[in-house]
Amino acid sequence: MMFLHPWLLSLAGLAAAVVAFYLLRGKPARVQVPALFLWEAGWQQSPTRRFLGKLRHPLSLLLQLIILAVLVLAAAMPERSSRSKSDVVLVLDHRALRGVFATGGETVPEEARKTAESFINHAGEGGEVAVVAAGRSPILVSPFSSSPLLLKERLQALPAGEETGEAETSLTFAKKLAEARDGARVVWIGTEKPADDTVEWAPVTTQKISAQMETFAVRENPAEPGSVRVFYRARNTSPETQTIPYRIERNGVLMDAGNLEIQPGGFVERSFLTRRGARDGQADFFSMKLEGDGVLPDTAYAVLPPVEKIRTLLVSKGNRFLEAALKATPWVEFELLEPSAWRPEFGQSFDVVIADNLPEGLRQSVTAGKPALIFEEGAHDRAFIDWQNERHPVMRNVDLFGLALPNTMNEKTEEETAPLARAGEQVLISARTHEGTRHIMVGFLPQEGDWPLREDFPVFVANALAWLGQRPGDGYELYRTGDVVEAEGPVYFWNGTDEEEKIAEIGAVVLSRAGFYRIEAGGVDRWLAANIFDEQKPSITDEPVANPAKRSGWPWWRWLAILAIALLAAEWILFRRRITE
Amino acid sequence: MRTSRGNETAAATLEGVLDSAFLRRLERLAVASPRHRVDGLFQGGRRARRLGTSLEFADFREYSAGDEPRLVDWGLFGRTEKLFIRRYENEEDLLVHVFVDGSRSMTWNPGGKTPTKWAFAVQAAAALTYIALTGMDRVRLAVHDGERVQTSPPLHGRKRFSDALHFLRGIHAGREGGTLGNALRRYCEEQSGRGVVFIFSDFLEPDFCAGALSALAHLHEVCAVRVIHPWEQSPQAAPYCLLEDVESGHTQRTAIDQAAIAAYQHAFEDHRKKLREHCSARGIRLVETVCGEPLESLFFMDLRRGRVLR
Repeated sequence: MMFLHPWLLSLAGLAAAVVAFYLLRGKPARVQVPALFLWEAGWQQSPTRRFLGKLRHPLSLLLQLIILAVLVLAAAMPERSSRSKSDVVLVLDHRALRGVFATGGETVPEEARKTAESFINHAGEGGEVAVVAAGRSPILVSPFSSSPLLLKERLQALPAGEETGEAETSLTFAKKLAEARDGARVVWIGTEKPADDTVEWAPVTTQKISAQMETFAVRENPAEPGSVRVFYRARNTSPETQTIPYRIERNGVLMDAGNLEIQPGGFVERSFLTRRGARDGQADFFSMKLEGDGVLPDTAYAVLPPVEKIRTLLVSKGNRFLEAALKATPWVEFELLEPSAWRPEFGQSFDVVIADNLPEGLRQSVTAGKPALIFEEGAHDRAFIDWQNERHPVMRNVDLFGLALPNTMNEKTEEETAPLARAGEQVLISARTHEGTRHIMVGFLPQEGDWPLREDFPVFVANALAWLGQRPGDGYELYRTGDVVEAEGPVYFWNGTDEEEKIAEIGAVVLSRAGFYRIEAGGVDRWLAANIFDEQKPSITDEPVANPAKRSGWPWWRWLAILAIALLAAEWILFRRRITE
Repeated sequence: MRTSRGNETAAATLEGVLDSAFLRRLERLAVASPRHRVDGLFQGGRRARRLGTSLEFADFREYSAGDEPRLVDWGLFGRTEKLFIRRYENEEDLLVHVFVDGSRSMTWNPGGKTPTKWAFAVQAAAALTYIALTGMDRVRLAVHDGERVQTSPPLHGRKRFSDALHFLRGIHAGREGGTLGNALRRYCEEQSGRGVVFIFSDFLEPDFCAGALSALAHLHEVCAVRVIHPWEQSPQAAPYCLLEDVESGHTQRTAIDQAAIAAYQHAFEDHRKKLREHCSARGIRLVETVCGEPLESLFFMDLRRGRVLR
């Protein structure tokens, strides 16, 4: 055993003062008797009684000395000497736990924070504590400090987060931090046990079962103007079959509600068509919430930006397939122009230009400085598309595998060019962004194959125009919590119910919470929806977990102080209490 | 009632204790006749030392000039030819002295739950006075208030009971300055005429007033009623205290532990034994009672068993 304040042990010398006070004439209780002479026999028989009488009672003195000893020990703060390292790095699971209730009745973040505070209370007892929050990336809440006050302040200032991601990154960071302190302990405070055995675990348990939204998306239906398709997928992560109530709202108005019966570990995937709810020029806000008794609440958000028509100029000798595809896209206004009638000033009043198999010089004139979709015929032999870029928004819902194409051209793959479709090593479709201007090059003429007869041709055209026209909120404007976006102006957060909250002025913004984000840029609002949608959020289980690493939050000195208080009370009851008759 | 000086009056102690039902029961009792003939003032029920005119024949005496001719026994004259007159017993009242100790040890009251010895003694004295007055005896009340002895005028007749109560109510006990022994001795010297003396006291003096009791017993028939407080028999422990003698004010620091209590109880019993032996040797009837017990127990059991009342 070691003492954190050994010099305080010198206070044991106060024992002499305690004994001296006993020997000094105190003010004894006055007891009147009718005949003192009858008592004389008592102290005459025992001469030591007068001395013992001065000591009031030996047990009282003994108790007082024990109390003093216990208080001195408590003040010196004893610690186990076997504990070689008292520095601790606390890693709080700061991922998507907001609103989840722990076993203690508090939310998981609150419970985790309390657990962290119990460790922090040991700061200043010979060790220091550092706090790391594990979000998508590690957040150093506080470096090593021995000040519980400072550590708690930093902990309280940690904003609520709903980020997702691997905890390993944060644990690695914490372990490096611990290594700097010659092997300080690393304690993980979270709902699941860390895989790394060198990390201690202070578990936070939850009572409710878990179900989570994995996908929630709203898309315009190209086949019908004003129509939108809602798609969602919810998963049951608990070990039992669950009937989970859900409700879908559009612009705060209930649109659909019901129950999802999901098998253990399984999911439910549905989609349905509905109409836009907002007027022209306004965005539609959709939210889907899983709720109900015993179910952890989980809400997904999707935003459909206002309809902004893209003015398109089709420079073509005549292509009815392209014209049909453009007509099928409700947010496209297009005009057809004969190549011979082209004047450079025509392009100024259009957002996107489509150059359909134009001669080289004219094509360059048409597409100069304008977003353009360029179709050009090549001289290669027949080719079959065997790869397409699934991740690129232009290729969303487009399936070109097995497409047979005559007269293809190998598009150049420059540094700023992303290949979208290949036939072997030959790039047939590519997307390029050069000095802020986007181009999509298609190295074949669709009408020479059967692609225009397939249903994904108008989808490709619509995707291409949306990407070229940088139409906001379409597909690639869906974000996950923890993502970072570049904001051109002030950023506002809205959870769908409360007041809008300004979270940043300009620059890189972390989307730490699930909900809607509005970015003001040049008088135009840009809307984002951020969702958790990630299996890497902490697993939340109602199974009881072991508590191997949780240590008592009470140091020895507190127990000693309580013992001193108890002894003091006993001494008072036995020797000091005055009974009023 | 305790006054601002710490003295205790008897007024409060008499309230509600001697109710009419209890007094009616007391009328069945009487002070036992003394072993000696009485020297009374009024006609009473006790055999007087002087012969008188009762119907009970005493003896004969030769006639002398001036005797009442009606008292000449003519039958005896016929047999002896000498004039004798018949003499008869005289019945006079008995003088009952009721002496109450009102010293500080009597008014001492640890805890306050049990009535003081003084309160109990005053109630008992009042009851005894009633018994004596209803038995055609004369009563003289005397109270040692701690400083001096206050006495009442002789009371005779039941109607004077209210005077007795008035006298008792006016006493402020618990004063300083005197001892019971001196008070008894002085009272013994001042009083003339033999009678029966009842002393209500705790006799908590080192010599238990032995000299005064002897002097009283020499002149009177004495009945000592010793009033004991329950605390005196079973004192409570106190770890470190200042013992103070309520009579003398002397103090002593000590610890009242079990050993001290045992020693005290031994001393208390020894004191009690010596008092009992002293009384027995001098024909003093000693009755002990514990304050707080019903007065019925004292009068209808203890005093009757001690042949003090009949």
